[in-house]
Amino acid sequence: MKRAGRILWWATFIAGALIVQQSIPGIDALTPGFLLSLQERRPRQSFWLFVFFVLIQEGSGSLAFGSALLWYGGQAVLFHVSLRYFVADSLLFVLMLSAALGAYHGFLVWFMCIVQKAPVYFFTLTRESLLQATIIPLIWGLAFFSRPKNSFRTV
Amino acid sequence: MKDQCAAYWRDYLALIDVAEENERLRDDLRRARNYANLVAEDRAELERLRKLLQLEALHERPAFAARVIAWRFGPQAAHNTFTVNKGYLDGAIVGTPVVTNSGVVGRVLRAAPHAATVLMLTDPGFRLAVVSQQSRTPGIVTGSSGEARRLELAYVAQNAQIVPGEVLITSGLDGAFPKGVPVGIVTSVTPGNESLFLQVHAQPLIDHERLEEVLMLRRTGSGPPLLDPLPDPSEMFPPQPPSENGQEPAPSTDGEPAVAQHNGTTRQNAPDADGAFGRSGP
Repeated sequence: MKRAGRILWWATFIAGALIVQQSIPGIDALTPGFLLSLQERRPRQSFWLFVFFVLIQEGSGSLAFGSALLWYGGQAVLFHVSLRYFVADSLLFVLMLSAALGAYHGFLVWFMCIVQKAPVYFFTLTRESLLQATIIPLIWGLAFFSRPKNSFRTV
Repeated sequence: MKDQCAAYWRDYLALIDVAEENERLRDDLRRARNYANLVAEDRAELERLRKLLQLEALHERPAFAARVIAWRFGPQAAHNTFTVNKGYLDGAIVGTPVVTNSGVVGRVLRAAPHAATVLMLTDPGFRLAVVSQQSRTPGIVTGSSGEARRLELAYVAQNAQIVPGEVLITSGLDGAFPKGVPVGIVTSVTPGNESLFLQVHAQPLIDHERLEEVLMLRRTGSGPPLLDPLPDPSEMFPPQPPSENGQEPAPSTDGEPAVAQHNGTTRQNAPDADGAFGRSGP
């Protein structure tokens, strides 16, 4: 896949993800794209996506600066830790990672609210964490099957 | 024949009550005019008293409009917020009150140069000092985490006379919102369980989901000055022409001009840019 094609694909993905985020408040629809990029083993592409996603989420959020850094940074760490035990391209891997990220989302928002002395809405937080864990494999599946297979690099 | 009957009915029989109705409407109009005159008189008196007491009228608070450009968005949006197209370069600094013509919307939570995030009144983290309009019961209004369109009024004493249907208005004690802006309507008042306070719930007057434009109130100083600014001493004491031998004129021996010349601050009692006293000049 050529560079221009990759950029066009990612631009389309980001636009679609932002529309999903707009319609479902509190969830991150960009995360499946970041996971997909990590699975493709393209560090440079993942770095730029990381920067771009952090800027978008930090700017639109209401938490103190750093929460998006911890969110996407945590995803990268969780992904690489999980690689030691699972095959990265399998659906089971994505499902387990989604569940873990759903829990991580709840923990991170709770933690950041505590740090900045803001009230925590446990009901909303639990609902959004479950929603986050559910929506990651769905978007990931769409993105995975629409992505050209030669995008993946083998180690 | 049929047309004639219809015309007779329309022009005569159907108009029997018109004279009475006309008289009644004239009475109504007379009463309305009297009422309007009384209101105009009250209004003029209010203006005079405000001027006398140097109170700041609610509608005189400077404000600027902003457009809602985004709603709660993304995983980091943990609070009930929305984004407007005015930032701190436009005057929307953190804490700026946000209202509409119907009542309180929220306040600026954080601001960028040309955009700001507004924390909504319905967020459980929002706090606002209010007072009920009829019984003047004070309390702190806050959002409810359970329902989107429900407010809670905290710290209402058990013996308070507040009743459902009362309008809650801002008390002005927080220093940001002006006094008298509508906030919500009390929907229920129940004795608190094992608490010293009443459980009071209210409904916001604003439909937060349909907001498109809002007003942001600029912070003002302490109001109009208590004293009229003194005239410029240079106007009161015009510079004297140099004497014939070329020497500067000797400073006056009386107090006021000397202060004006040596102090450098020619209007000591005049307010500074913030309208505050005693802080201007070196």
